[in-house]
Amino acid sequence: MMTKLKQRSIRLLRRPERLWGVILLLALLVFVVIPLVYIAIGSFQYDSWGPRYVPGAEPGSLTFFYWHRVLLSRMSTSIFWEPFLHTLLIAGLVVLISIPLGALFAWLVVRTDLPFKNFFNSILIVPYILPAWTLGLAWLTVFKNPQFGGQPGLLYGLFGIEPPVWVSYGFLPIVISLSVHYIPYTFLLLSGALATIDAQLEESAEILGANRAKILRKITFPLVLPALGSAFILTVGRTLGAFGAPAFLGLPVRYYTLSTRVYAAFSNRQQAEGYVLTVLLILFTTLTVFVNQKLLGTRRRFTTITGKGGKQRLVKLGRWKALALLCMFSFVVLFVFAPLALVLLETFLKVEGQYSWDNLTLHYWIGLGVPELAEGQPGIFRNSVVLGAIKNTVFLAFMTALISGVVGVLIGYTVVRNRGKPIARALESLSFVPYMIPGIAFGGIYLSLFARSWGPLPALYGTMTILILTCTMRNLPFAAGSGVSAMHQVDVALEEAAELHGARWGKRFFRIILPLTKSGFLSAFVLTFITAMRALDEIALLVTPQTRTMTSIIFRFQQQSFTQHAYGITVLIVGITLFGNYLARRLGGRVSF
Amino acid sequence: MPDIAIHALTKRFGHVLAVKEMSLEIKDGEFVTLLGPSGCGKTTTLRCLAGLEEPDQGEIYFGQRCVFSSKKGIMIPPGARGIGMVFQNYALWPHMTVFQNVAFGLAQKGMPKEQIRREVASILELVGMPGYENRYPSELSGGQQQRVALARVLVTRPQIVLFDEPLSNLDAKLRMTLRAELKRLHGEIKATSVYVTHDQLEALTLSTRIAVMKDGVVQQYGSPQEVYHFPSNLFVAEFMGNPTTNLLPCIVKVAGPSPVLGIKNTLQNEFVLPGAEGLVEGQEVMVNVRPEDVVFYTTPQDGTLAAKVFASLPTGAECIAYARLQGSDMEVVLRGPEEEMQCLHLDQLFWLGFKRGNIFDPQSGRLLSSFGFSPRKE
Repeated sequence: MMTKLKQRSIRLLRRPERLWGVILLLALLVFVVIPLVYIAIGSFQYDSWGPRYVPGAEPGSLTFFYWHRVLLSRMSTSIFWEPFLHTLLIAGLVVLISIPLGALFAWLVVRTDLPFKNFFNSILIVPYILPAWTLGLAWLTVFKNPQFGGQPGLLYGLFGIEPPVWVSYGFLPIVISLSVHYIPYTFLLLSGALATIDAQLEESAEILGANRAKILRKITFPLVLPALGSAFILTVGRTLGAFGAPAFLGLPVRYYTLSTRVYAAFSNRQQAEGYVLTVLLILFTTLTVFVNQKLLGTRRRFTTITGKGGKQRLVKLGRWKALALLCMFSFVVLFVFAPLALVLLETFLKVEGQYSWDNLTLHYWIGLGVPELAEGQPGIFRNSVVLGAIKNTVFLAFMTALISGVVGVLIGYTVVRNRGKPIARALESLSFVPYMIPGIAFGGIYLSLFARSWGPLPALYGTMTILILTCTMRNLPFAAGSGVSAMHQVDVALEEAAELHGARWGKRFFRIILPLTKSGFLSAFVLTFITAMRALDEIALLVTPQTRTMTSIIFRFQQQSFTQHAYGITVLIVGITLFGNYLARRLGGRVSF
Repeated sequence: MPDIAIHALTKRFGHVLAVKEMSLEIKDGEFVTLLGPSGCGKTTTLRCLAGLEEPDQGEIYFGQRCVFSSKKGIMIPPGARGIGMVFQNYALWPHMTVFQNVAFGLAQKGMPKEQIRREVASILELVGMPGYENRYPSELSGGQQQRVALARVLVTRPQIVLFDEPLSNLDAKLRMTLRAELKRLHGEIKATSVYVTHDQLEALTLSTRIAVMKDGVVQQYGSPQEVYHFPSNLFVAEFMGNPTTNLLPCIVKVAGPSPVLGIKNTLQNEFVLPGAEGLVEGQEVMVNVRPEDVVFYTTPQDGTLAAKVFASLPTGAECIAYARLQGSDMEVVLRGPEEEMQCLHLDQLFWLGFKRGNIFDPQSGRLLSSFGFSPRKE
């Protein structure tokens, strides 16, 4: 009996993919599944505020009170139905704008003789690389209404035009900034699909006498339909949970979406109400992902995109070329360059809204605090709060990237080596779950779960650990995805050949597997770094004065109308993000979704 | 060098039975090929020998040493079995140079650096790749990569070498060269070798013995000549075709030392098989004759079948002709030197007979009788 046990454990250590499977599965259970169950149960229990609503309510006892309050009560319109309607309207309109535009751009860049292709290829993904709220901030510099948030914007400052509130804040700017932010989804997915269509498929239709419009309709469009579908679902799913832009542009005028409602509930300590809203938000995003799987899972099977693609002839635009070029350039200038320039310019303005030479200053970058400007806040590089936040951010981003990189490689290894076994499927689908949880919901869940200690696990609220944990788990789908695809590149035989020479698992992992996945690991590391660095949604609820990050102080400064500071830190983030993305591309990585 | 003994080896993948109570003895210094179509369990068997898969049941002995036994709970890890394995895709580590690849196993054994250098140099010499130490695998051609893979395996002087379709990714010409090379190396090193392939030509040219497998079961185990000329059942006969073989469903019309057979479902087509014994009148049989054992006449002969050529494929040295029997839709393939076959023109009527072949029971696939062979030496 003992020898059998010993034999088994030796075998397990020799081929530890099953052991890793169990360990990783347990970790995912603790950090993903249990939190979800916890808030689902919590939504049916009175929280500490319960007795204020229902006299005599025992905190912790079971109740339908919150579900009723959110969905059916007198208050439900403002708590749920109105934000829900806003969310749906925003998502619907964002789809209507970003998908046709993204598709058009993709077609123009890939399939026509439009010049400057390389330029458009790299510039059109910039809106996605930047934090979604960057455009929102830029929007405010132009259209800010002096009635709200103190200082006037560019339009008022230069021309004395006072834009109506619905232009400055709320629905319109949220839709525009999210649309521009998600155009790259469609652009990237569709240009990939268009580029890999085998030209012979279209040429055979042409030889049979179909004209260009018919080929586009009957051949090309059906072939790229799965890619369009993915873009659609990705855009809807992400828009439903978007937090940054609705927070910057909606909160000042009390325009709520589901995600900002979740934020409001948790930051007002209305925990159980937050749980109900979180569960609802997760349900909606999960539903879109589920529809995606159902629709595209079967669709994808009969696509004939081969991945090789014969040489495609480019469509000659002729006299349309100038118009197409003009449209593309205007888009790039208006929605990429101008916003960045405006945000940068804002940081040099001594007083907001006054655009004159003598109003320019470096005060907000390097100045010492003076009481009449921003309530005495010193410039960014002399501001201990900002510098502390930068330090925290770098630490957070580095640790997140490192941990999720290692976990990603381990998950990839375990999934690929256990291919076909239930444990691999469980691991793969579980590591995908965080994808369906919007960032703000994620933050809310971890906030309530880790505010107290659990057995050996101390209370994590207020530590950097919980931020790292949240960002790591939030990033898990990407880490696991790139880990799995990196591991697919490594033939099993490469490891087996070392095993035949008697190399133990540790040696095989560090000598063979890690070196072979190095470039994938590095680019994933850099991409995760910049993702964690500009993370706002998932940590907005979790930061404390000790653990402030750059994004969280942007959020706070913006609310306190320290606009130049907020914009200055945004510029820093944009700079690091663009550089990091350039670095990742040099390392052979791709933009992550 | 040890011999290999496999006893009642069984390996399942979920519900799929990959290897079914397989037993095989491989003698010291032999070169045995496991041959069969994909999914027959040959690679699984090899990986069980290597220790990369753990069988569900059975025993494996290398010489006196038990390396696996389900009963005794023995499972020696691959690194401790004293074997070498050549993979289909070479499995050269792309981030290491040729030297580092080959030296890996020696370093693993703790050999001093200077000695490693000498050993690597001499093994690269042996496989015909001297001076390539500092190249990376991506800088080598497919054939060169395979030679390095061989060097990496042979440098540790394994007593048993396992080959997993090592030549299947190479072009036809290179495959020929490396086959000869493998034969030379086996002659020099004399390691007991087990070779997996689905290419019967490769099996015939390289092996001392061939084990033909199907559905996890060994169908026949014997020398290349035995397997080729005396297939023990229909599956082996068909699989060992080169490139194909003739299988004619027939009915015995007249039994005797030179029985008369008729092609099934036709009226006239009758022919004589000299020396085919043990057949019963009225019995249904399957006659298997290799294309090169079909003889033909341009004038009518007694006991032969009339046929017409419908396609002729000359390859330079020889010619393969496809003919259809008169009054039936049965096809017969002939093969012979091109100058002999030249007289068979398209649509020309000719007569064919069978020099030698085997007769099988169509139901069980069992061998019933052979004819036309000179007496077997056993």
